[in-house]
Amino acid sequence: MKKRKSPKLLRTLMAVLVASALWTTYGFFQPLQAAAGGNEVCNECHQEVVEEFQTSFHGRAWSGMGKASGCQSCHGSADKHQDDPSKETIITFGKDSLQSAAEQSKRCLDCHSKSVNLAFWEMGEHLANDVTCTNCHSIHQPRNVVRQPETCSGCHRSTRTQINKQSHHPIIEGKVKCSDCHNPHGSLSEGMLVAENVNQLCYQCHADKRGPFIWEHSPVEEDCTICHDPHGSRYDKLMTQRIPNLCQDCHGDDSHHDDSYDGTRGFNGSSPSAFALGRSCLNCHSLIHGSTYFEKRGLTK
Amino acid sequence: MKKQYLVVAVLSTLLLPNVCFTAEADVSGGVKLGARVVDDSDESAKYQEYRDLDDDILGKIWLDAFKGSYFFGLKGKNIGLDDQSYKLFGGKYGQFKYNFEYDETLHNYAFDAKTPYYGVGHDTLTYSGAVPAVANWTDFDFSVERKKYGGELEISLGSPFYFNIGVERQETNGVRPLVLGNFFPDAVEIPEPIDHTTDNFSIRAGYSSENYLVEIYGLLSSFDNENSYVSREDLSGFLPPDTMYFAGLAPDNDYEKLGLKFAWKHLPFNSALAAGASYSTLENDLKINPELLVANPAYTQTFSGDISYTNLSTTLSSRPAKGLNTKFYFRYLDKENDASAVSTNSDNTYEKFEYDKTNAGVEVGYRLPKKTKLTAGYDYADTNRNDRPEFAGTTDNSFSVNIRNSLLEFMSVKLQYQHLNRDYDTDSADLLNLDDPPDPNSDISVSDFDVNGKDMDEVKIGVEIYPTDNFDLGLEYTYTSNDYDTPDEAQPDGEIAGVRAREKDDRNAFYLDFLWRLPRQIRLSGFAGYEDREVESQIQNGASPYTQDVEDDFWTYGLTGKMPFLNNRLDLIVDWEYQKSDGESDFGIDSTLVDIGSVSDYTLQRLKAKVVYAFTDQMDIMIGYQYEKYKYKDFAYEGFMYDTTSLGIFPTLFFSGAYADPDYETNLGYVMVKYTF
Repeated sequence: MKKRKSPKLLRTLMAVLVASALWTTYGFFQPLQAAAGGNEVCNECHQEVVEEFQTSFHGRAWSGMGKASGCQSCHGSADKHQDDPSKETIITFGKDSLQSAAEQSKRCLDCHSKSVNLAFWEMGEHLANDVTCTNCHSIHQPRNVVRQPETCSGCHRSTRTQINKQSHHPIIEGKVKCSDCHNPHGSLSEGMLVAENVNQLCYQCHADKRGPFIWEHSPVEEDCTICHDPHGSRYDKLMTQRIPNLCQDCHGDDSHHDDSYDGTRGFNGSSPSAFALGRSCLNCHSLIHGSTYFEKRGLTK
Repeated sequence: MKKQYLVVAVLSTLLLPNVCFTAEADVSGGVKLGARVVDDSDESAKYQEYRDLDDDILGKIWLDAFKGSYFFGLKGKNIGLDDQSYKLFGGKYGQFKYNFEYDETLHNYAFDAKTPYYGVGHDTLTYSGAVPAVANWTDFDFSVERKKYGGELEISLGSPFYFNIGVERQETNGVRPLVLGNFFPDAVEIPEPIDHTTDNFSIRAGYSSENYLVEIYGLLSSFDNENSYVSREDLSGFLPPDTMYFAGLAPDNDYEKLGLKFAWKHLPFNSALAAGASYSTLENDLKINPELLVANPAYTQTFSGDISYTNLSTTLSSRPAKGLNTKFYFRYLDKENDASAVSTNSDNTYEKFEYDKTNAGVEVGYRLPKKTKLTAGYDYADTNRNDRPEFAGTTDNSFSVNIRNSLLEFMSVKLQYQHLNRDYDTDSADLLNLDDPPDPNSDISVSDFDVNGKDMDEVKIGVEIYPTDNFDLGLEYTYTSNDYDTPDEAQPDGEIAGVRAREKDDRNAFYLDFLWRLPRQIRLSGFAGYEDREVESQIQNGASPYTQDVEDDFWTYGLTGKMPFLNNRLDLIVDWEYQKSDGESDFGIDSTLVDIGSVSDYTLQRLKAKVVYAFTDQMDIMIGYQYEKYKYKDFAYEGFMYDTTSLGIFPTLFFSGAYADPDYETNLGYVMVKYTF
């Protein structure tokens, strides 16, 4: 067994991080640059909105860098809008916008297309389904934090139902976020996963399941979602079916595997069975994810 | 790691005040402080599955500080509790950013479980003297706590080049249920000792501009389990005293990954091309027989695990004409298993699972008149496996069509249809090599539902209605049907006398939600959902084949209301949710088998109510009440007993009580004062 201690790498990185924190502190003692203007025209009619925007992350970041934190950067020129204050003369965002979803997103991408996080936006399902940046991000709000899972649940209704079921990952408890597994800005993986495939994603948290095992269970090695619904299930342990039914969907062939575990097989039944009580098949085949025992023994040891 | 805690504490207490009181700094934040009382007479772990919900003091803090382009922040939730979390972050816009995080997550499986053994939390479980009666078993809690801490730094210095490093450690400790059986004479649900540590180190470096992204990334991850096996003493009394049973536990492993990402944007026809490739290895070395290892620590036979993954993926996305968009994609995954061979007896033919999967597809979308968009897609997937010779290859062909219309200002409609056909190939040679003639005790003659040939049809309908500015309504319906190949279809060559398992499953799902913003800032929102599923199976069972239909129904609905009073100084927020799950297993009207009426049945009710009164713009008080009731019923636990000796079954089962009685009814009250600045 390896001796458990902090790797040098970890300690080195922590030192680098502390240095970064000190650098930030140093920055707070530097004189402030004068912020450029840009909102005066809009302020005449939309004072409340302009003031709110200046407290937002965008407003603070732009003014901090000495850039014009102008409304017109996103909403386009206000020249015509001043004469005709209607939607037709200005760029707007949201479901009532006259601009298409792609046009709305393009306003954001004019600045953010350099972002590493948005490099695969064109490949994602959200763009293809006319989801725009402002569907999730509240640009004017002081704290532009996308609330998860609430924001995602607004469209993904079935997922909203799953994550509230009795068996679920700690998503509604705030310990797992949608973005821990999915990249809403697009990825090259199926389902916009943040990893190459399902199993390599699950192994990031469930490192104890990644093996290598001496004795493997083929479906487990191929795809965790054959047996588990990661969003939630009415069955324990996020199972896609109750055990023994799930096991019998593949193993209904011989021995006790294809026996009929009917209503007589319970604790109170006329013919109780060790293969039906409690955890059913897992009463014996408990190492279903893989075994390191000398013999295979049906993944029991 | 105490040094790291110290670093965070120093940063929090010394650096933050410096930042906050610097001239011209823009600082905002807040603190919440309060107390909670809980009436949880059932003491069910299910209620606290992922939450620390005892009587306690409550605290939360947050802070954001800006000056110029520098920013600094802190968040702390559930301070001092077993599910606490903290985050400290900062940086300079466009230059660098960093964060430290600390998070504790609980997973409570069962409280007041019982075991006949000494040594809970250790790898050797024994008892002294005679087999103890249940009344003398020891109480303990099945609970695991995970602590995760680490940090990340990204530097770009205003250039297109960037460099990111991250480090993280996850420590998981506690006990969780594991049944250690031996076919005969007994199987015992025991506390598996969990003492895992995972260290992750990641690095990314690249160049990102409007037109290009090139990134190279790597990950080193090491998993360490302090317990390589767990053992328990025989409980049946049939075997000699002190007989021990062993089970191997999650093995240590080292995972390394190196990858490359590439994107090229603004190509002709408004195209973007992206590609990714990664290669990763997963290795370990372990001694394979814990019994011999204990008897003889010098035991040397080892297993060398060696798995590698190769991933390739590329996507070309284009908008060649107005209203037209296309996407072509290709993905390839190859999992190779080069583990060392294991020397074992003839009943344990060593098998190594490997597979490769090729996936390609195209999507074409076109905007039609009348605000209509039509999208069609085709997806092809080909998978080749060893160690599953009856399903050595599967080929999926999937077609989909999607049409959306938003012509009406107050409504949009979406309709989608998908059909998937799966064929498979049997590797006859491998079948014969594996079992000649096929072993009746092997799994090779079963229609495994995950790889069996099938036809899937799915229809989705979605409607969004917003008749007024203050009312939104969403409706969604999905029907899915899987029709699996029957044995005659599945085994056309008659190579093996295939038997049936799952033959068909059908699912219906209906969801609804709404948001209604009433005058005077009153908000009312709600949702409802209904799901049903029927899984039909036919199982051979020797000369007595039988059919089984497992049917599930699931309902859920909820309402949330927010009502302001006293010129928005007082808010009343009420949230109600109900779930009901009802399952049954039927064996056919002509069968002598007895139907099962309770298949993971449960009801869950949650009521949350709170009143928030704002004394000033900076200070408010919140008084809240939460009620939860959960009732669970499943055939497998009805009439539960710890010791099944009296049932005369083999193997004799000895349970711990985990999962047997998760029911609870709880009341929770709290008061919190919030101050913001």
